[in-house]
Amino acid sequence: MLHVVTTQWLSAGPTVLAAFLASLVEFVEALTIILAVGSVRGWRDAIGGAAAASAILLLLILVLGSALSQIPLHIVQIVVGALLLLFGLRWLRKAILRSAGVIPLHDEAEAFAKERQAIQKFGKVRGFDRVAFGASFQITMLEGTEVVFIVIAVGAGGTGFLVPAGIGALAAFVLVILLGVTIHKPLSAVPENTLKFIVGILLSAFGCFWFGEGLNISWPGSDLSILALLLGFLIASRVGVWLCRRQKRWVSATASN
Amino acid sequence: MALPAAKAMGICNRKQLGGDVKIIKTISTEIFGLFIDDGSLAIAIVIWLAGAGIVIPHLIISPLFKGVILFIGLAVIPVESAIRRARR
Repeated sequence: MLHVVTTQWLSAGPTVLAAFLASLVEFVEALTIILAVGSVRGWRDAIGGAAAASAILLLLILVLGSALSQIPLHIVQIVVGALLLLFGLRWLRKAILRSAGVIPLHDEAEAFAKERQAIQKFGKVRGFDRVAFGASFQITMLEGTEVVFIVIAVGAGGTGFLVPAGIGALAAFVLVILLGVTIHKPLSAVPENTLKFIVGILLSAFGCFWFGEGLNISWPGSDLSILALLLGFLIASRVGVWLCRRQKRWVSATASN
Repeated sequence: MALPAAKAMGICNRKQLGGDVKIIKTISTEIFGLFIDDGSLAIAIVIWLAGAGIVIPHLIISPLFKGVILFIGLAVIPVESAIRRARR
């Protein structure tokens, strides 16, 4: 009994973690923009836009969730696996380049200051502020669509993974809302690149696993092989950071000679 | 990948119909960008997956090696792409 519970937890653990961390990155980015819009244009319409988009996204999850159950599982696994890999490997590449110092790190506080400055150029209105509502709506829709995709992608490839993925995303949502309401500032202390690194590895491992399942590869240890894939992508990306640093040093040395 | 608020506000500030069409277009473009921002990376992933999808089911080897073959390509692609970017 204990073995079954441990195995189930081990299988669901990476799903919850992947959905939580990936959603956390997206919610932090959305919060920065909504805080910028709300602090300059007023909170009522900024929050209204975000709430309207959240309602549409919730509807999207319900519709897509039930529609996916109508499609044969191996087709879902191949499509979702391929999309996860396109998404995850893209994040992983960016995180490797940021860790190696090839491209700059993302700074939420700087982004917040820039957004505030840019928004102040727009004239204020009395009553319903369509511009603030629309901007908040659009940003929540965009970041939220990423969260919906992540939840469905990490959850839809196997039986019983959708609920743990949803729980992970919901936990991230509650955490960001609580932090946003409490500190009223962009969450610049969140180590965004480290999170993106971990999420890139998690999404790539899930993508590889689901795609392989779709091809009828019988992974040794079944779901537990996701852990081996996580380790494999971690090692590959650390090697990638090391090689990129070397390459950068070589380019600098060549340029200075 | 946050859409700049000022860009979103600029779109929302335009006339209603044009603004709505532009909002949908912007959201669609940004969603497409979730999966593809570096064309060569995306092409390499798609080619590897298509090749794996065609070849792997026909290989008479243990499932472990099938998984390892799929993984190796996927681990090498982002590293090679990052090194190429670092070289610029």
